[in-house]
Amino acid sequence: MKNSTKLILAAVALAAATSAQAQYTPGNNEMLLGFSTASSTGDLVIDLGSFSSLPSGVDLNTSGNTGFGSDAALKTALGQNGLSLNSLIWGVVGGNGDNAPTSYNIYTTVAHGGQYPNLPQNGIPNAMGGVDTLGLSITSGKSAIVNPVQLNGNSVTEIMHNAAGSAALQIDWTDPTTTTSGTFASGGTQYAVEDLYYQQKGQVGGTLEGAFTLGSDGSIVFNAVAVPEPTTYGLLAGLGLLALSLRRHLTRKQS
Amino acid sequence: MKLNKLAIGALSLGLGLASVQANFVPVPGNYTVIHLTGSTAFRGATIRAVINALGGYGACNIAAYKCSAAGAVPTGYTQDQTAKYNNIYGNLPGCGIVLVKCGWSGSEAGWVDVTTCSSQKENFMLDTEPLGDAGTPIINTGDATLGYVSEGAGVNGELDLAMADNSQAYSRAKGLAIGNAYAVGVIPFVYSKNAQNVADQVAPWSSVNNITHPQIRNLIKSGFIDAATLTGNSGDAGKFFYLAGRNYNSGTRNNHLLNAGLPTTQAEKQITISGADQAPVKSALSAVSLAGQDSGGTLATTMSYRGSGAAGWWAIAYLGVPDAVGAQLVNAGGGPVILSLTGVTETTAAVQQGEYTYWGTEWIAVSTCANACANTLYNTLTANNSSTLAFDNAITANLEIALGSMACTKTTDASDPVHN
Repeated sequence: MKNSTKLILAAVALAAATSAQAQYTPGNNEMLLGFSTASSTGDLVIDLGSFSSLPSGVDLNTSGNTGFGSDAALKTALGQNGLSLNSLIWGVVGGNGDNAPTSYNIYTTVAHGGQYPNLPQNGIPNAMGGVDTLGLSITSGKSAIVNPVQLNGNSVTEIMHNAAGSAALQIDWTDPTTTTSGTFASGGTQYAVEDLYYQQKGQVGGTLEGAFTLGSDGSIVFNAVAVPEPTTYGLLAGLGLLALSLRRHLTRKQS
Repeated sequence: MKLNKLAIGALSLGLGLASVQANFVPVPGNYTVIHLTGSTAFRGATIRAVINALGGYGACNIAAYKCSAAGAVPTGYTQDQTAKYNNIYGNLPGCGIVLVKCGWSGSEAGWVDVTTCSSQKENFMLDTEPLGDAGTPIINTGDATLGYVSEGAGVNGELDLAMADNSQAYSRAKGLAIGNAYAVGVIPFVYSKNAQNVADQVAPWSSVNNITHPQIRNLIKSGFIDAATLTGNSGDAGKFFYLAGRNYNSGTRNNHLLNAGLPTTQAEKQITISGADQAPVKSALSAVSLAGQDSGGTLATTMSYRGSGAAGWWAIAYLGVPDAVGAQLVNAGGGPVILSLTGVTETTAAVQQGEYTYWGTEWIAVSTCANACANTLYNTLTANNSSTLAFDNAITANLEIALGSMACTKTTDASDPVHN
């Protein structure tokens, strides 16, 4: 099957699955995409669905994950709430703290190519308290607009990032956001990238899971870290055997 | 009729049915129903204030159901002040005969109740529930004889009045229309650890006698805390205390979050304790902010169940003082043990001076849809005669605090107290 066909089928299946998805459910590894600006009065948080359901290499607007349907619709939604794509604060966070202290995990974005901070894994359940607070601000559908000026404590500004460094995740975990450039929306389409890391109980450091790419056209794509397919493993094994054979052959010739 | 009632009463006593009282059933059309709901933590003072407004116990016909057991009533309370449901019938000056139906839904539910005229309902006892003769309330720890009915939203009148442990500005009903609201008292709360059998009253449980705000924040966000963080003893690491709490209708919970410096929208993770004394059962952590016990009395009772230490877990709960004190009377071996907060023990004086910070300002609110008699009752309960509120005369020492006696003020529900 062609890769393009696979992607289309996956996107269709995912759209069908996510269209029936309820509002944010704690403990379900649901990924929250947050948008804000330094002077926002209408932060936008989107429940992209569980990590396992995130399609790779697909625009999450058209796949149904954001609930906006198209890049233009997401861009319009940002604009309607006063969120310019220039100097836009954005990031993704999710996880599961419901089975703590037995088990727990978190997903967090960091700047692309940046080092994942060395965080104590025992802090994950506390951090998930903030993540769930953000998620529970979505009371219907897949997204919510929350005005941080009202100080209800459940906006992107109060949970993910603010200039004062007093957001819940800035205190309890790490800032999961980056900020687009001041000219991000100018000229042709530009892209901003953040890496997504995973950490669970007992794990020192994080595991790179992939990267999110935000386009100045409103597109948002997740690209999972490439995992070799079985045929690739076979090719690698074959190359290994060939190298071993050549080495033995050379060794015999030398002796 | 009076003679008949006396005769029936005498006959009942003669048959050894002392608990079966002569009773009184309100005649439909002869009275106005007032629905009163909201705070469970402050219900003791509210019930007393309403009865006072109707002329006192000797002038009212009363039924009180789902009361605490007689042996678990805090000093200063009568048993009807611990009820979940009260029907109080009497004459309200300026209005006439009223049936005040109380169903204590919780502080936050109360705010929603009186700000949504046409959609909200709560459970109350039926109008036809038999009432005790004047001066002799019917008291029962079980369910009402005739049962309950969901009222409000136009069914037998709207939800008229509510009590709340925090202001509307910090409630789920923030910004919604309200008829009027008035601060009438102060309700203190406490943290406690769950009861243990004597054999289990050892470390780490025995070492935990105080809790700090950072520890509370950890409990709220994670739902548990490593015992070593509470005791400072590395040997306690890997043993856990869990948070047991209330659902999102609770003002006790709202004040607990605000006092910890967190918003009332904070997702609070906690366990629910069920089972029985000597066999408590700990639920899995609930992550949803809506979860938790719907009654402070039930939460306090579950904190009096002994046996968790032997099973390897411990609980910390936040409670209204009357419920905590009542639960301590449930088991002869001791109930939940109240903890100090940042080194300060809860006392009336410590609250009044601002030394102890976990308390809330109590409000009474009247709906825009309330009937005329409900507004009369609201005016009676909020009348300020020579700086004395009607509620001041309903306060029980060490359980609630008169607003006028406070020597400190919280500028907002989220503020630290400042001495006046």
